[in-house]
Amino acid sequence: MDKSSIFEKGKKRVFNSLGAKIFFFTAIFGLIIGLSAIAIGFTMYSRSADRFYSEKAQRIAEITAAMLDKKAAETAREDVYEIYEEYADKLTGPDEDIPEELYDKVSDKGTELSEGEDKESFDKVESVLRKVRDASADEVFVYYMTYDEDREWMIFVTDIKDEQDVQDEQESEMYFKPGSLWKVDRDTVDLLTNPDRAGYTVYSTGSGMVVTKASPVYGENGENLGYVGVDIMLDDVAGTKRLFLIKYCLAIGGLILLSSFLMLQILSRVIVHPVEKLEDAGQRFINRLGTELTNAPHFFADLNLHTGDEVEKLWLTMSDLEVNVAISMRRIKTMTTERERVEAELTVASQIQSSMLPCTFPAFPERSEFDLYAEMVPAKEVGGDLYDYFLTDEDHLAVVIADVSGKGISAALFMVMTKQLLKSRTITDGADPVKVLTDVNALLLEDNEAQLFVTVFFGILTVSTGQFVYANAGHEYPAIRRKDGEFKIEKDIHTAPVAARKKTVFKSNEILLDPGDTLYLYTDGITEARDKDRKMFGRERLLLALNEMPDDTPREIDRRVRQRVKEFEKGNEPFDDCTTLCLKYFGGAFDSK
Amino acid sequence: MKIERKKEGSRLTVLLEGDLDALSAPALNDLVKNELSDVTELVFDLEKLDYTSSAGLRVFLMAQKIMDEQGSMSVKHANEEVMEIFDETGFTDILELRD
Repeated sequence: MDKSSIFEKGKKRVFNSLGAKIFFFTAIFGLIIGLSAIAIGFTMYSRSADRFYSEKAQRIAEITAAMLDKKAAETAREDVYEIYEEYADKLTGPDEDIPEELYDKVSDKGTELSEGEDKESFDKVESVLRKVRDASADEVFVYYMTYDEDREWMIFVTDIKDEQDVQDEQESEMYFKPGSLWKVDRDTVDLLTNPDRAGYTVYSTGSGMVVTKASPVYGENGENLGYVGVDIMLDDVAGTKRLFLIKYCLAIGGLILLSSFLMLQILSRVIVHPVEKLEDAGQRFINRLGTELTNAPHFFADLNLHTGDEVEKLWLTMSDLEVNVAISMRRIKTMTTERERVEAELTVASQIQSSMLPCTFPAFPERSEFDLYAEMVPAKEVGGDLYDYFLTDEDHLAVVIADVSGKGISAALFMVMTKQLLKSRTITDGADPVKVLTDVNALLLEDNEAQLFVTVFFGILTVSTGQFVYANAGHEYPAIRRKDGEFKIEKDIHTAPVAARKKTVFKSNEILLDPGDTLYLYTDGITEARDKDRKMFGRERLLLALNEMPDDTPREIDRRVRQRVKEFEKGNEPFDDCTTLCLKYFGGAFDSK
Repeated sequence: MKIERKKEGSRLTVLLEGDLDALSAPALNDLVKNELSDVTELVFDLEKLDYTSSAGLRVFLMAQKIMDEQGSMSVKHANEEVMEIFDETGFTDILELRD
């Protein structure tokens, strides 16, 4: 895997995303705060503006009401109300039932009246209204009206009549004739007249946004005559509000952008740059890991990130990590070298060991009296099993199979000793298995610190007669096949293994091999091979394998047994050395084949 | 494999359970090497032992050699399979086997 490319990809991504994330989240956060500030600020501003104009209208109405000539106000009101009352009964019920011309009739009569004998009173009132209006800085409408509480009608008494209103009398909505009617419920009247309430704000097509307040007018005896109403046009106010909103948004937006950039700058310096440095050091460290490990690296230590915060902690940890990783890597490298050396030595040992056992087959191509095959497969590099065969003279063939308790190098060394002693003692002592084992037992026990012992099957075949004398020192029972029969386990006389105890008395077995008889020797690596369920191969399966094709050559028979063991283990690693020796006797030299 | 000890004065009974093979033998080997100094009577109870390999036999042999010097050792309750192994490897000659 190409490590460097992955890390390079990571480097770019980290910088971009950290910076972008900081900017993004600061902006989002700012936007939320900004929008809230705008909403709150605008509402507050808008409310106070509304209240301001509402109060202003209220004040104008109060002043006007106070300025009115009480007598004139009373006369004008009585005139208009009289006309209204003439028609009042017809003015009840739902709006759509009231004919349009009825309104005109009332207002026309009202107008007529205001021009008649009481004209002076109407003019007096109007002149006060006009004075107030003209004095006002804002664009206002001031008018005098009276209220019929029972029928909820507001009846206009006097409005200011400008020249312009006279010119287009019909269209003007800016002028209310005396007797003009306005349907107003009692609650709205309260809204209009109560100084504590915000006022009556309405959107009228001709004038835009309008806020209306009214103040009561009292007669000479203190009775309520009606109200002075004041409208203030809010068009200017709405414009001011809009402007405020735009300025406010711009200011907040600018602040957000500015603070986001500042945040980005600060965090870049505080976090992104140190992280980048650490990452860079890490990458340089990784690049050097594979190549050079002799000196302690200090890519992290050199950074000197004394920031006094978590970054410094991270830096200190990385510096320690760097040193520890380098130490571990060096250790692993040493260990690997050491292991490779040991493995190489073991391979050599394994070769030496296997070359010590005779392994050229056919073993005695010039001898037609018998055929023989043997093999040792160690579970590890070196094994503790051995086999051997050699002619002590023209007529005597020695066969050995043995298994040292324990495994590995100690067992292998013991096995080598055993093999050499058995062969040399046989040549010195002659063909007596019991004597040979007794001698070897004593010799092996002389120096046996490791307390190893070895099971030995040692036999000598007199080739000319078929007489087979052997001693079994704790080894597996041999399997023997008589001529045309089947392989069977030969339960022989057993003794303790070699090198177990000084006083062991080895015992001799003697059988006569007939031409065609086969002897099969093995170690417990065969019978105790285990499958996945830890079941053992066992003697029964061994006999089955042997009897599949019992007339085969010793080599073929052995190959089949090993094949069956392998199938039985189903991929389980063999745990013990597997050693076998198969000897087929064809009879004395002259009657072979 | 499970190893259980029962000590009564200088008599030590070791109960073995499971398989005694090359993997489990070292534990028993340690016991034999380190815990027999004041033991004069050593008993291996093999009632629950299913199997012993040559590695296990080697530990029995070592224990036998130590106990030869300082007291006695016996092996009891070996099941049929273990008994067969003892028989086949000639350990019936080496160990004092009891029912």
